[in-house]
Amino acid sequence: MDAILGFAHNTGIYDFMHSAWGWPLTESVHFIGLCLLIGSVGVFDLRMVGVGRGIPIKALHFLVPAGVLGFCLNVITGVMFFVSAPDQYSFNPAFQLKMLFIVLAGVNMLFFYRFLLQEAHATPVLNRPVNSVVLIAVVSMICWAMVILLGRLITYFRPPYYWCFWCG
Amino acid sequence: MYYLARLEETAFSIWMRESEWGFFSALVMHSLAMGLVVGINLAVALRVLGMAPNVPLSLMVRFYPIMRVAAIIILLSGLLLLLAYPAKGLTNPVLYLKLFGVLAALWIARYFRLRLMADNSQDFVAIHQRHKLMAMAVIPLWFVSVGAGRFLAYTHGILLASSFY
Repeated sequence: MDAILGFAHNTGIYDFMHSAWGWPLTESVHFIGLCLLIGSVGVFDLRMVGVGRGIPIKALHFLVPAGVLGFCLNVITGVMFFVSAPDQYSFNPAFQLKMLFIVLAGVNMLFFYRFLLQEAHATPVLNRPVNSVVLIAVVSMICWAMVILLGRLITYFRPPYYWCFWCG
Repeated sequence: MYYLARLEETAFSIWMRESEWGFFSALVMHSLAMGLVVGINLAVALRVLGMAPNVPLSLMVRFYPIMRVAAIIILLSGLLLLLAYPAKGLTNPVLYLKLFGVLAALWIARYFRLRLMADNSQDFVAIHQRHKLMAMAVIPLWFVSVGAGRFLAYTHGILLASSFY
């Protein structure tokens, strides 16, 4: 913890984050990043579950760089939160679960790119993709919804905790 | 201020503030719905600006019903949050900045639906510079709305009107 806080102090992140504008401004950028992610990955997922039939899935793929930008904003601002108050995050089950769902979303995405991308791209424009692709999209949407929900929970549930079996 | 204090003292307002899940549930619904509305809006704005040029613009309107439902959830959950702390929100100019941002961005979304997405003849034609400027304006408008929403939690002058009576 001390090393992380030392890093935050040495880089000036701690002072910025604890200034009057630091925390809310960083939260705003964090949420905009998430919205960019929803605007690209979320819209892509919606198309894969059958919303927006007629739009070629391959064409929607060009929105993904916006999602990558959003994710980068999230990582940068997320690190700024974490290093400025590491004890509030490390032991917080909401944060731990949020990280778990981000990893799950990442694994889900890697699985999609490795095994199902061609199949998704080959989907006729008026059809819904095959079930495996739909499942990937549903898992992705659940993961990102959970990330938002748990992100809100972080500020509500701080140690000590009574609602998770591993917190004891 | 008197009426705000009266509102704060209603059973529902007290429940929203003091129950374990009342305020939190409204906050989560508000965040999820904001994510959807802002996300879909940004996707449309990016398409108008030239990203993903092979996406037929007229078909992006098929995401609008989801956006509409999410916008209703934003409104309802926003009202619940306001009901929990009416003085905190209504006496804070930042709330009006947020409302301005949301309404202006949604007005542009509606304008795009009526002018650019109404028929497929404009799907792949060059987009007018004015529409590109409007799409560009959507990005700071949502940033202002989201930012104002976050700053609302930090900038209030009055938390409870009932503390004055």
